[in-house]
Parts: sequence; structure tokens; C-alpha cells
Amino acid sequence: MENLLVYVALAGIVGLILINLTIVFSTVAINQLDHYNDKVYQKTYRQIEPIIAASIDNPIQLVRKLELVKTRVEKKAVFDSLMNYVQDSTTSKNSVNVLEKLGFIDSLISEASKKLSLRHIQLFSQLRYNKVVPLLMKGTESENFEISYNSFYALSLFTMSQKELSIYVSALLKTSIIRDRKVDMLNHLHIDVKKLLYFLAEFTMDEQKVILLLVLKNRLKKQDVILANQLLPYLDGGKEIRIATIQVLTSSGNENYFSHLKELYEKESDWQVRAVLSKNLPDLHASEEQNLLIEMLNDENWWVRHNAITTLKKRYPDSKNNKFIELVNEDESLKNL
Amino acid sequence: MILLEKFIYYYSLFILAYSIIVTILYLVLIVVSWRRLREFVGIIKTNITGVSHYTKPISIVVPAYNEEEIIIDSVKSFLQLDYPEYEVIVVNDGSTDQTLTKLIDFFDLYPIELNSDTKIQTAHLKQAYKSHTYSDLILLDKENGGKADALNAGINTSVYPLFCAIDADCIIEKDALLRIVSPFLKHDETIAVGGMVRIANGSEIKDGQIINTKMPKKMIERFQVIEYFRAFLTSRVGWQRYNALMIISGAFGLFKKSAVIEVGGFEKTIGEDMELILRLHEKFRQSGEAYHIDFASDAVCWTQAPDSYNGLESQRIRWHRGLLDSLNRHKKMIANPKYGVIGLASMPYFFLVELLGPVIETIGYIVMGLAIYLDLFSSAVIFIFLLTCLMGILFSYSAILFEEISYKRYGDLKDILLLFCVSVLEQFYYRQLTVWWRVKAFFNYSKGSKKWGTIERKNFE
Repeated sequence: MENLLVYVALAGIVGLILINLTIVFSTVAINQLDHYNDKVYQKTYRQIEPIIAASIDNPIQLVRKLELVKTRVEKKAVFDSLMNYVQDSTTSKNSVNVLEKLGFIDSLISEASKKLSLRHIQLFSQLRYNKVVPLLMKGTESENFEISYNSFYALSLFTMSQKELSIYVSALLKTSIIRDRKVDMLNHLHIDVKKLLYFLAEFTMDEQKVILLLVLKNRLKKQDVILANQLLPYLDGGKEIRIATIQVLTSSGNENYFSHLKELYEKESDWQVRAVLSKNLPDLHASEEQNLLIEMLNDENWWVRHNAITTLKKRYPDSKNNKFIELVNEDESLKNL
Repeated sequence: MILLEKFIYYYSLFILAYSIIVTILYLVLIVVSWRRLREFVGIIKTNITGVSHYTKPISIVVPAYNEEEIIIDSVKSFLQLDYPEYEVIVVNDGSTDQTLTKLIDFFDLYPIELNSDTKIQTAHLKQAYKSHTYSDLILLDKENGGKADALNAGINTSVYPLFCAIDADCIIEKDALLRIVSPFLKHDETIAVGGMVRIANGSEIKDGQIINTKMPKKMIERFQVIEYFRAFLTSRVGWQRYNALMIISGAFGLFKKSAVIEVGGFEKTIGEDMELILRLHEKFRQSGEAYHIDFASDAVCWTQAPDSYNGLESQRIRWHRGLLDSLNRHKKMIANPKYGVIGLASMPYFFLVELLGPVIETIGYIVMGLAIYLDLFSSAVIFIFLLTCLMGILFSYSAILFEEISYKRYGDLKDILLLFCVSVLEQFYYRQLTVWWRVKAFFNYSKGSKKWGTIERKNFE
């Protein structure tokens, strides 16, 4: 039995020594290889970059020169250098053209078709090459959250067809991606107001409607009365929908909505909705706003009163109407504001 | 005599079995961490959303107690971060040194009346201050109540939905907030994210920023570099993969304020950071709500590690008492399937390996000494001892390898080789020392201080 114990321990010792030595050698090898590869790459890059810089305005000539590039390091240097030119709007078109002619894009697409990685998504988002939209659409369905999330984000930087856009919006609204980020992505897409209103009518869940309303914010123009009127029924929706609708309508700057918002304030039981209204009301530039803001100073909720007084002070710094100042002086909690 | 001989034999057998089990657990953790770390690096290198303007505002809460040596540098560094919208709330927890005066003088602070919303009860708040020069800086001066109490006071005052708890003796990298917030910008379910803590000792620091990463001079500091590698690169990365992180370092962590308030804020306990995470797991697992507790290995915070044995001893005793206290408070979660991976894997691992490991090891050393004294020493005992040492070396070596394939902060070959050597030395000296300190933590555990742990601070530069 004693011997068995010794053998087991010895076997463990030998095994662990071997594993540990392997780790030491691997780490040293990785370190040295990295240093060496980096050195070679930097040298190659320094040789290739001036060639690209000299001919980036003449893609045909550049392709001819770069066709001679053979080794892996040289190809990598060419690719990286051209990708840098892709970021610059003045050279972007030519760089994509050269990358395409040299077969880099086809090989990337072929690689990504087999297995879409984060690196592919990053490169596609820089290239903005419309042929990759179907690949990224497929990526949005990935079970890997990072792949799906980045595919959605990359797609938001592309110009999509109407059909693709509908599929994209529908898929995005169903994901667990955080709400504000969805709004951020949809904002990249510059969807027109009519289309957004169409989506708003199509989607049934409150959360989806709120996202679309937040995308509409700052897009409605003062003259879009007919379109904006379609939003009025949402003032009777759920709490989050009412809040988002207030934000959209006030951002339109059309004072015609003042009466609707005043009516909402008078019947609104939720203080958070009233607080949003007292904060956003000045965006409407309504001539009657001052009276409503003064009325809000009597609100039972502190935040509503706080927002109202902050707005009044900002909007009417030299006001001769001292009624609100009297009201504020009566309210101890607002005196210090 | 025969009885003692038998005890030595069976304990050796037990240690061998224990070592094998722990080695297997380590190997599993190493493999999981390896895969997860590669994913992390991939995500970081290919981040296409980094250019987006979209972030969430953050309140940085800095609890401080007798930090006069470093507080100005630290707060300066917090005010220089690359982040679009944030506030810095420094909470002076009744310091008895010049912390408060130094802050008031340097940042040109003036007293203000604060209508803070008391969501969590704290010790009396004496005065709040704002700065004439830095509009986003708030100082709270309160009666001493401990670190947890100071953090809760900061939470009460904070205005933003996320708060970042940072130790006053830390420097965080300029882009660390942008990196640590990333999981909050993706998953709706994220409730807490821990950052990577590295040791600042030895590195060049200028204007509250790390200029050049260097290996510390003292051996005691170098040991800690390895320890931090192990803790952050092979342990936390691995547990994060299964949403089973049990700790977010008190030095640098970002939290969803509403979730923390919902569970009552930080508890006045020895290990308030671990205890809070366990309470969050408990609450969310019980309610069945989806949640994520994440780790951002690229969000780096540099901390000042103790460079004296006394300082290190008191820190380690405090940490181990914190572990014991947290596990004790949440013992019903251990091995309870209701709590998923956290109850079935993470907590039992911390209980058997991290908490009881030092006790089992100390008994092992006593048994070894006894065997030598009684002339009962057999080659098996020495082999088992060597086996446990090699196992520890394996864990350290893996961590060094992971550092080399991921963040390469110590890219010089000399530094890497030095780290390998330090890992070996650690097994025959430092390990026994920390094991003994951790055993000492069990004595007078109930008398353990729930207040501030004090480490002698030095100026960063």
C-alpha cells in the first residue's frame, strides 16, 4: 500500500513537472515569437506602406504593383495598410476597390461563410461592403451573444434595402440587447419618419413601441403635423409609452400639441410622467407654457415642482411675473434651488 | 506509537486524495479560463461599438479613511478619466489624519447643503462639499462607520444609475470606465462588473497615470504580482464563464445602483465586497430574475500592495475572515441546487479549497514535522509535499502564460523568467507564510474588525 502511495505521488510529480516545463517553454516561445513576428511585420509594413501611399489614387497601377506580393507577412501588411485607407473617406473607395481586385474581400467572405468571427464583423463594418449584409444578417441569429450583438451593430452602419431593413428592425426589437443601445443602432440607420410610424403600428409590445418612439425623437419636424398626429393616441398608452410620446411630441417643437399635453397633465396620475412633462415642456416653445409650469409648482410631487422651477428659471430669467417666485418661497424644499 | 504512525499514513493518504481533487479542479478552471480569456481578447480587439457615443453616466464612489498620503493623487486620477459623463464622490469616513483638510485645500472645496435621498441608513453625514474648480467632484464628510457605511453614503448621494466603487489607494487607467461599463451597454441583465486589479508597486507613475509597468523590487511585492495574476486571470475569468463569480474586488467594481439598493446596500461586515455579491446571487436566484455578474479583464485598476510583512499579514487575515464570514452568512446556499452553479460549484470550491485549504495544509505540515521528529518519515510524505508544491506552481505558471497570451503588461523576457522563478520560490516560503496567516484568521474570528483595514500608504510617485 505504501508503495502504491509513492507510485501515485511520483506519477503526479512527473506529470506536473512535465506540464509546468511545457508551460515555461511555451510562454518563452510565444514571447520570443511575438517579438520576432512583430519585428518582421513592422519592417515589411514600412516597405509596403510607401508603395500604397504613392499609388492609392490610381487603383489599377496599385493592383499591378501589389500583385507581386507573395509571402503571408507581406499580404498581411498590404491588407492592414489598405484597411487604414478604408477609414479615410477620400481614399476609402479606391482601397475597397484594390482589396476586391486582390481577392482579399472574396477570401474574407469565404472564410466568414464557414464561420463568422468577431474579426470578420469588425472588418466588414469598416469595409461597408454591401455584399456582406446577408452574412451579417445570419450573424444576428447566432447563439453567441457577442457575434449576434456585433452583427446587429455592424449592420446598423450599412445602407440596407427596405426588405432587409424590416427584417433587421424586427429581429433587433426581439433581442435582449439593452434598450438604449437598440435606439442607438436604429438611430444610425436614419430611417424616415413614415417608415418609423409604420413600424410603430406594426409592433404590438410596449417595449418595442417605446424604442421606436425614442428613435422618432428629434426626427419629427415642426411641419410634420399629419405624421405627428398619428402619435396622439399613444398619449393614452402605458406609462413608458406616454413618457416616450411626450418626448417625441415636445421635440417636434410644434406648439399645437400643447393642449393635448396640458390635458394629459391634468388627468395624469403617475408622477414620473408629469415630471417628464415638466422637464420637456419648454422644447415645445408654446406661448401658454408659463401658466402650465406655474400650475406645476403646486404639484404634489417634488420632482415635478423641481423640474418646473428649473425650467421657469431657465426660460424666464428676467420675468416680471413674480407669481412663481412667491410660490417657490412658500415651498421650503424648492427655496435652495 | 502505532496509532500515530497510522494517523500519519492516513493523513498522507488524505492529503494525496485532496491534492488530486484540487489539481483536477484547478485544471478544469485553467481550461475554462483559457477558453474564456481567448474570447475576451477577441472581443476587446474587435470592439466595433467603442466608437459609439452611447454610454451610461457613472457615479464614482471613493471611500477614504486616513488616506492623506495618496488621496490627492488618486482623486486627481479619477477626475482625468476618459468618460463622457461621471461624478466623483469621495467619502471621508471620519479620518483622524489630514485627509479632509488636504482635499478641501487642494480641490478648492466649499460646503453645500445636500438633499441626499437616504435609501440606505448610514452613520451621520456631517457636511457635504463641492469644488469651485471641478464641478463633478463631491466630498462627503461623515462620522466613522467603516468602509461599507462610507460606500452606502456615497450611493445615497449619487445621481447616476450606475456606481463604481473604487478604493482610494488605486489608480485606474484612463479608459477603464469605458471598458468596465461595456457589459452594461450590451446586456439588460447586467447588475455588477468587476475590473482587473494589478499591482502598482515598482511601476512608474506620473500625474496619477501608470507610465511604465515594471516588476516591483521587493520579493514580497513580486509574490503578490503572481497572486493577483492567479486570482484574476485563472480564477475570476473561469467563474465568470458560468455566471458564478463570488467576488468583485472592493478595489474596482461597477454596480447597477437599483439592484444594490434593492438588497440593502453594502453590509457592515469584514468582507463587504464578497458578501454583497453573494447577496445579489441569492436574491436574483431566489426571484428567478435573469442577471449577469460580469468581469471586465481589460478594465485595469492599479493598487498599492502592502510592502511589509506586517501590512500583508493584517490584510490576509482580514480577507480570510471576510471569506469565512461571507460563507457563514450564506451557508444555506452551499451545495444547494436552488442556487445553480454558484451553490453547486463556486461556493463549495471556495469552502473546500480557499477556506479549508490552509487548515488542511497546516495540519499536513504538522504531520510532516511529527513524522521527522518520530523518525517515521517516509519518502511518500516528501513526495506528497512536492506534489502539492508542483500543483501550486502549475496554477501560477498558467496565470503567467495567460498574461503573456492576453495583455502582455510584463512583455520583457527577463520579467517573465523572473516571474517563473518567483512562482517556484513562493511554494517554499511565501505559501507557508500566507497559509499560517489564513489559519490565524480563524482565531478570534468573532472579534474581527468590521471597520477599516489599515495598510501603511506611500505616495504614488
